[in-house]
Amino acid sequence: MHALELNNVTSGYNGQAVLHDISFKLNEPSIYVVLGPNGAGKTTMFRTIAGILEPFSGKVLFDDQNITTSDKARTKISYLSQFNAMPEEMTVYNGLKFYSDIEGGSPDKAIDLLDLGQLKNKRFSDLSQGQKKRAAIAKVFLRERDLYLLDEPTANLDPAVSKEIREIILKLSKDKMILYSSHNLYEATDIGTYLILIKNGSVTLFDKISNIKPKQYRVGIKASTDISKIVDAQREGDYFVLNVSSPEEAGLALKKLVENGILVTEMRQLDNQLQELFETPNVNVEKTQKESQQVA
Amino acid sequence: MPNSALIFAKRSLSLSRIQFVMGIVIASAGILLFNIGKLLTRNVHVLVNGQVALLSVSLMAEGILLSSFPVILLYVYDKNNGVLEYLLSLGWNQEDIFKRYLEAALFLALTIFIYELAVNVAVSVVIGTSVALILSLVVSVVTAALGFAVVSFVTVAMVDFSSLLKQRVGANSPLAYTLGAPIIALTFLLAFILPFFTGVLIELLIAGVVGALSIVLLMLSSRLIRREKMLP
Repeated sequence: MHALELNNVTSGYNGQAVLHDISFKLNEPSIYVVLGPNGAGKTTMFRTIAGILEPFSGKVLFDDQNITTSDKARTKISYLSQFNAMPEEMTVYNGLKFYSDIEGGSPDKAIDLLDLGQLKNKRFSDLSQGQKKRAAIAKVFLRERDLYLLDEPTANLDPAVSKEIREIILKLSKDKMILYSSHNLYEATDIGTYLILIKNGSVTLFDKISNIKPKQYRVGIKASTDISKIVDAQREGDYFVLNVSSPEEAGLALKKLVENGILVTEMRQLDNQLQELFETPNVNVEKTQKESQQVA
Repeated sequence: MPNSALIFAKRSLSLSRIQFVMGIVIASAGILLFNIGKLLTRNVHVLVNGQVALLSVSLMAEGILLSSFPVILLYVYDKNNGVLEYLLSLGWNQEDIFKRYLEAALFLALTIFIYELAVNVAVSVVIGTSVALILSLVVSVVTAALGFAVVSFVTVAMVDFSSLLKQRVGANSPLAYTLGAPIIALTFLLAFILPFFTGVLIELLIAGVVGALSIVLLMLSSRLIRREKMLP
């Protein structure tokens, strides 16, 4: 089994720390979604784990080998940055070949995986944004790795391609560890098993997404008639909105509506369960990091 | 990585050929200036006395500098597109990366120099005097010394000092290029005011100083090139 361990890592640029004393350990194949507002330090964390940035203090270990000093450890990690990082003057095939000559692996395999057959002889600069992103993602799969660092892999992709990419990543996560950053809360809950929340350069939460319960659920109900006299719901656009403290309470409200002969055509959670995390001030960092080490 | 200098050189030409072509044109002007007089008069002393030989050195060195320019553009472009960042993530260190670009720049410079040398020597052989051949070799040595010193200096300085990667308003070239241009411009000036042999010595001295400066910057590069400088 592989393990990634960050021990009191402080890292940043030109002597200015962006990440502050981060510690956690991952040792289970899964998708770890890294969430945080812009400038929180997600990319800096990825760059530090990938060995691109040397930590000011602390250590990043992969399989007990220091990323900064061990080339062997680095070869087990693949990093997809927010930039395409493909030679734009080359064709897709030649661009992938350029990297496979450096790191090994097969351009054909990556082309098949990302379904790039029709694009492989096109110049990268002639592709659309979505096609460019797919080709850029392909380079990450040139060779099999044990840890994948994917920094917003579905940004700028249309929903169909995003879904395709997420499916590939989900398949991969059965036996690989994947750190996946995103701004999209729905995508995070859809794909992730664990959540690593970063704010102001510190990990403020590390937990299984299924353990994260909001204090209040906003439930939207579409019904055949006005239900505001039966349950405590307010009309907001197409929905009657009900605020409840648990899914069970929402179930009881539905039962009550059905018992009153109301035809309910739709019932859904309106807010994402991770929404609150963005709005809540930082929780106790030290406590959360200790807990996070135990979680993974 | 096999033949990496060649791969990076080819990439730079795919990205931008115009400067390389301009390099060939200017180098050809230098070659023409140097050889046409020789061919017409069959008297090399005319060249030496008329400072034509020194002017042709400046033109041919400028050709060498221009020919390496696509590599400078490629470096800026790879930095901005995240290619350098990705290479770092593959386990290359900053010096590995920088040396690939330096080798590619010198490779392009070498191709132009070989062209200049081949034509100059061929014309001397046609003229058939040993003086013509010696003069061609002297001019080629000064051209090579100046050209390679300036190309190395510009490339190393650009990577060591990231502020030199910025482009001036209205210009298509990074500031680094403007470090090389005045050095070559100085040699144009010297061609008009110095006799040939003094000019050769002074230009060799300039090449030596610039070359030494490049070596110092190269030695300091492990300290000066921080990884952050290679990130987009």
